[in-house]
Amino acid sequence: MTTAEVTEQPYVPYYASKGKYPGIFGWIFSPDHKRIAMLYLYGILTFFLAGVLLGVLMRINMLPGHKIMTGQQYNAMFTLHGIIQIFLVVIPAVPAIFGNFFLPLLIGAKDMSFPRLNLFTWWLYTIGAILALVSVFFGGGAVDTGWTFYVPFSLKSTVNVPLAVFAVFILGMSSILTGINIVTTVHQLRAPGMTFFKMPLSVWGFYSTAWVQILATPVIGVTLLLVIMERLFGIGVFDPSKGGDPLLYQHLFWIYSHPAVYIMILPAMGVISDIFPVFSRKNIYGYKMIAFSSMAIASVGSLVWGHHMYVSGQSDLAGIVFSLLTFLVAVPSAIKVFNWLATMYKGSIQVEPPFLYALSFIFLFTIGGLTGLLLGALSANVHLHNTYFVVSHFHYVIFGGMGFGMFAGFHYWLPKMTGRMYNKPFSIVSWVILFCGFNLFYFPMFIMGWMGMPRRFYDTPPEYMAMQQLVSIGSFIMVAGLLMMIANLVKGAFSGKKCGPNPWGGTTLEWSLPSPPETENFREVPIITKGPYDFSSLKDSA
Amino acid sequence: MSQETHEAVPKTEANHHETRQHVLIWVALLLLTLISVGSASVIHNGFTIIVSLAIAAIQCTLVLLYFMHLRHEDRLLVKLIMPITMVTLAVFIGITFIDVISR
Amino acid sequence: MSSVHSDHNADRIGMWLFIATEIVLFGGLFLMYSMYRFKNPIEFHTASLELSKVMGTVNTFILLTSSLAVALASLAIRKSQIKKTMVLLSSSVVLAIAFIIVKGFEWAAKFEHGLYPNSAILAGKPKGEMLYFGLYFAMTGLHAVHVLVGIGLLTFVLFQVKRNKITPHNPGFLVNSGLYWNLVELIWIFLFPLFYLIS
Repeated sequence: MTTAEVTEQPYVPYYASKGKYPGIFGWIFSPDHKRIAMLYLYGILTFFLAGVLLGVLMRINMLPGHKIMTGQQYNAMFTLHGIIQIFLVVIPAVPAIFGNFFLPLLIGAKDMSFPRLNLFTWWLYTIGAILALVSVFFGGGAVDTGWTFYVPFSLKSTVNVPLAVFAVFILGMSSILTGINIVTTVHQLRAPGMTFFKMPLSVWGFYSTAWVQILATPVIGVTLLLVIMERLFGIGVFDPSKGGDPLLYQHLFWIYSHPAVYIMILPAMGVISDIFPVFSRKNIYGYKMIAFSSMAIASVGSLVWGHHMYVSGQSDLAGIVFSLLTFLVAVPSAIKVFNWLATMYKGSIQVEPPFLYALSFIFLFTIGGLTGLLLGALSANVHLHNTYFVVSHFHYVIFGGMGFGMFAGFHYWLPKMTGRMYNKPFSIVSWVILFCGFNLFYFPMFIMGWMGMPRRFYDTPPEYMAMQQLVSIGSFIMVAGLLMMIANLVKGAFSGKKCGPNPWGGTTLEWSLPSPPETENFREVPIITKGPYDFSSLKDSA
Repeated sequence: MSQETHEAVPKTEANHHETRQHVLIWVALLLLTLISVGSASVIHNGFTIIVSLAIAAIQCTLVLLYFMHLRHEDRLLVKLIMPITMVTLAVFIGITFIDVISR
Repeated sequence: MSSVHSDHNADRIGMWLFIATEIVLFGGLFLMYSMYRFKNPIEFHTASLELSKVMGTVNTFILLTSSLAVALASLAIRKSQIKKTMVLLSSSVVLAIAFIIVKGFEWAAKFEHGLYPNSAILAGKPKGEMLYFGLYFAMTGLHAVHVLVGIGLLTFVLFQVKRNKITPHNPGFLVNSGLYWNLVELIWIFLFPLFYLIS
């Protein structure tokens, strides 16, 4: 790549280049996709830790003799935990951090299609986050409705629902605009020769996610607007005393919020699909099937929202239809899992931290996915709904799946983003603690849920007390591992060893650039002739 | 290439033709509105909604194709966005109907 | 839509994707409307008699004409007919304001008759009629907000044309604003029969 004329210009990494504005303004007003991604990273990391803190407080509260909050405070805690982790962390996390930073690098572009719009989405995100925080302290206090804002309670509750709902609306706008930017970028800015089937699979992940963001998010937008109108003017469309149908709220809410689960998991799956070939030194198995299954999950996954409503009074026929569709989504998900396994088969596996996180992603996601089938079955759902089983299921999918996928992404890409390598043995140790803590935390919750322990309970019946303690201890171990991992990554980002352009031997385009990349990314437009995971050239040079 | 054809200044004659075409479409839209209003005061059964929605769909298509220039669109993606959106919406409404009808 | 590279194709794709999100936004409301109307066909009919078909038709005509003006404006700017463009844009803004005024009269009439959310008169009516008016105010209200945004946008475009910031070779912003304005009209094309023409 490096030719004589290129070396003439001095190398200036993106975070050191002189922009229009000095200091922090050079960041918060910068249209550079990499700086925007870093801004998102700081925001999301902060809120992630805040959400984790709320979770820990709830777990302490569940220990016998440690009632540190009132019932009302507990309700506010799990609501805030949900709002923060869902709307402020997992929905934006992978598309906004990795999508922003790496999408242009992966397809050989200098930036996203709409750089200023991109910056605007970060501002919307920040405004939404501030509004969500303000709603905790003003106008009646923190929301206690659960993150789902179910009517009629969200209409009657005396706390500050309108502001919190409005905050989520703003966050939704941010997510929509990010989606528009990603779809346009993928269609417009691929480097010459990069056909759709030569794109790295993470791009397919971002791309399919972006379509869901565009087509599903407006539904929750308008639903939340209606909740606000209902609270302020009493228009009555969700109020049973005025003829409104609360179930319709649930339909509209889940039309977005179920696909939102795929907004969370699909890009993480894409990242995983990029990681396995690199650490197996082998082409991905079944490229097209993985790409198509992303689109299949995005489309079929948008039609299964009713499985959140089996016991809330929807018709039996609707329940059957939704159950059937729910089982269908398992097919493309399973295709992905089998293809990842087949990729590793007979590969020369390098056991590095990103690989371990990716591997645990498969394990945890599979448990989360299979228990999801149990919940998707109509009869089992009657027994299991609103128990710890559900809580455990979605934490396995979202935290074990999306979360570990994101951690894998950080271990894989952070050296590229910062130019420095973290302490690898330490990160493997923290992985072991995190992984064990995670399972000690959430697995007993399956059993408790199966036995009938309801979710969102402030208190614990005595027969569950022993397991409740086990779960809390597991959560403390997990958080310890989590903090170790984050501390290690942060330390590595600032004072780790310089890692060079390609520490993992990756073959996708971002590894052809210096770490960290320059503001303009590519000095000359790359021309793509090979697929994304062609390791034959690497073998020759090694 | 496509970029040029879309953004370049079209020939005056073609443009004049297009102006007239726009006005004709506008007349058609007004007439369709009148037909819709008229039929609603003549027909007094379940067909009203079918007729008026069919007319609205025709009007919608005319606006999309002419006023919003989709007729001259050469990017497949842009052509497909509206159909994809409409189908998505129809599926959302259709599936919700399954519940409401059978409840 | 902003773009550093001013890539017209990208602007167009982005704008159409944005239009798609707007349609889905109103789609959620249409979904609610169809469910409630399915459940309360007779009440919806009775309630719809309170609306003035004449005013609705007039407003439809106003909005259709305004759309035509914007569509013609985006043709005119490409022909370098700056003055014609500005006349067309101004007339579309004037028509949009007229739409809001007519809408205001309609809403005012409803309020005079006590037909507004939470009113005592509406509380005495059947639930289906309450729903009808709840939806009426929510949907036409959200639409009116879009019209107001459109007025601001088109006025801004008008000044940009005047200041030579939008030129025959760089009409993207005008064209996209026109697309937005036509979208506002598209939504009205469906709102009108659904609220005014029920039998």
